[in-house]
Amino acid sequence: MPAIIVAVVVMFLYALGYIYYSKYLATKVYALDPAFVTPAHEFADGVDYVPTNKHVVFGHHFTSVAGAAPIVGPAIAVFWGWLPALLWITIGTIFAAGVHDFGSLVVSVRHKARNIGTLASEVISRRSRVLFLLIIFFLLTLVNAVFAVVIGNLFVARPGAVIPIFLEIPLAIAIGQYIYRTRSPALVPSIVGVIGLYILIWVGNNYPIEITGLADSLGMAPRDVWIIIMFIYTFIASRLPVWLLLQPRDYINSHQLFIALAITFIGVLVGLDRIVAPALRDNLPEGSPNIFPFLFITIACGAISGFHSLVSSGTTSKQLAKETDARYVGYMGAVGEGSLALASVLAVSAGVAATRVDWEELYPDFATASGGAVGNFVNGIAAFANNLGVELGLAATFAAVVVISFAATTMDTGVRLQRYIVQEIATIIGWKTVARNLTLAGLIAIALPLFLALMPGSTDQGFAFGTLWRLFGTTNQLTAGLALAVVAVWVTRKGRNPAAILAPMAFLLVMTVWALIIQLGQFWDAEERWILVPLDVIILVLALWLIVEAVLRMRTLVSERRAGVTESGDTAADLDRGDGQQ
Amino acid sequence: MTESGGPAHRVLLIRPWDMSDGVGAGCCGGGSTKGLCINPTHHEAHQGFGERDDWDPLARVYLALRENLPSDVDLEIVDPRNHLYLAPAIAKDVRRRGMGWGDAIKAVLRGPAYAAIIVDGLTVSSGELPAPATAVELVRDALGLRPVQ
Repeated sequence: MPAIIVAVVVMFLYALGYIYYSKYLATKVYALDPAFVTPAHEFADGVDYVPTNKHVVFGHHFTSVAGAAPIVGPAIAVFWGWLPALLWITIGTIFAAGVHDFGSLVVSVRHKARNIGTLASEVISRRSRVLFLLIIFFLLTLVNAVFAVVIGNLFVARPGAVIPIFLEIPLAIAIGQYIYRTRSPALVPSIVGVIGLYILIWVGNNYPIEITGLADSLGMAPRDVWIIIMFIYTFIASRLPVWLLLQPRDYINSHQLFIALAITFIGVLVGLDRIVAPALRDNLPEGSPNIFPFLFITIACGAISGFHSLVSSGTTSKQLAKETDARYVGYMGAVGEGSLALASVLAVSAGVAATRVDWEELYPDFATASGGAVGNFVNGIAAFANNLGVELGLAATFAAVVVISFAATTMDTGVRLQRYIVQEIATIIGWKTVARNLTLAGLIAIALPLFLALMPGSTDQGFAFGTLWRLFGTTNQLTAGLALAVVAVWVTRKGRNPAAILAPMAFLLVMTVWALIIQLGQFWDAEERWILVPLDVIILVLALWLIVEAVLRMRTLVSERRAGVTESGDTAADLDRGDGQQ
Repeated sequence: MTESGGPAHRVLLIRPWDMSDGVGAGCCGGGSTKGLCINPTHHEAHQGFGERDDWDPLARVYLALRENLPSDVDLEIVDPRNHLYLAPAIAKDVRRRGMGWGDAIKAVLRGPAYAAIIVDGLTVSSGELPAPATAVELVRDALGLRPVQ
């Protein structure tokens, strides 16, 4: 089947989802009120709370949620066939991610733009605050570990990417300083920055950097050396002011995001590539993970990602000028990420191989499929870029640079945010030394992901993307489950039907718990992976904890509704202040 | 309001990039600490993030303008990298003034400078943030409004 037809059909379904389902959510479930005074107006301070045009808010929101994660999951999941991956991405985006991103934005707006962790504490129970911090701690730990492996693997497989990635840093700083010191407009320097990066890609492609000699002298694998270099870099970067390094890098990367999406879809259109992967694979090798539940945690970002609730409730909700803008910003943000996941499916089912036989050589078993997923995505995107006349080797380096850039900036902020979480937890449990010492908190932030990335057996094919990636998926789905629980409680308290929220929440939690239980047995039995047993148990306990908290709160609400109370004890004064939460 | 229902005037405050909001680093990295902070009363964890304190100059200008402009003026703080919004907005505003496409392109290329204040497509200040009172004066003058007494 021509890939372009699949792309058009999915985009059409996304459009229907936005037009009809988000309208249903806006009117019947979230009951948006155009007259509601949003926190951006109520607390306007020019810093956090700024009423902003919805297109401007969307730009910030989308560049904050879209990145490498929706690329990796689908690139692994086509192992089961392209159709299940595509269906989960499409249905998940329309009925789960859209509900989640949109809902967490609305609930935050209705509660003075408080973030989802604070809301969980207030709406569900005080204990949920700790639950939230722990889930995010493990989410960031796994993200940082997996993305370090993504980068290490790609530097080894595509040494042409080394020069552009490392010289992008001084390039970004130089452009940032140029804009800062000359006070010049940003458009031309931004374009120069992107062109400069593409020149570096050409240079890197002609002068690949391999570190085999250094690795040999250290007695380590080159991949492991790159992983250590990345953690040293991110530790240093997390100590620098945001404006010095992260912002300038992000300027270039946000442009890369749109360029990569454009190249993918135009390349598919021009090349008329055909999907050669099987729609549904019926010849899975023995020992393959079952499609249920593993498809639904392998693809987290791209179908539904709990991390979006942090962005929705952290910054976006403080900028909405009108409550009705939440539909466009929140739901379309989910659709945007779904489009990136769609690009990934097309790359690894149509771009990466010319025939079914070629494709099956890339996806012979789950370990090979997951271990090679990112490389397959890179080669698939390279094929699409090649349709536009870019030489194949250069195109592959370009695609590798796109993925590494996204993964590296995610690590940049991931380590920074993890340090912050470590300090939050330390504050709660009274470890003042850790709470106040940035270096110590930073070291703790990188210690666990570094261990996971380098632990015994970590070089096995399928470890990072077959094992760690699935654990990451479960924590991300748990975060989404927590946010959906908050939204469901709020909708129920308002006396409206929460089915649209409870359905994806129940589905996610069932898949997550099911997968964690299966994995527990697998880790216990597998040599060298028993060390992941405690991690799996902790995440399982967090999942069960979340379910108990949500069920207890919903039971209370149902009892209150039967007794004729719809606002859960809110006073009139509370309601005057917004939504009755302090 | 205009005939199309849009605001009568548009004032764009270009956010200095060193006062930029969060970091758009992609899924599972994007956003800022504001999505995570559940204990805003303590400040140890906020150190080193280069947030709030650095933004106050822009905030003061924004609040002064908000206080001293009519309600039909659309006042926006925009990140300078948001070319997808800025370019058509500036071009549209310049064209609405009856100026040619050449002027519109020049305004698009030169407009979103560091800390620029753009009134209906034309830059009235750039390079550094003016004092709030000066900003109000510049913008009201560009809009043909009487100075604030």
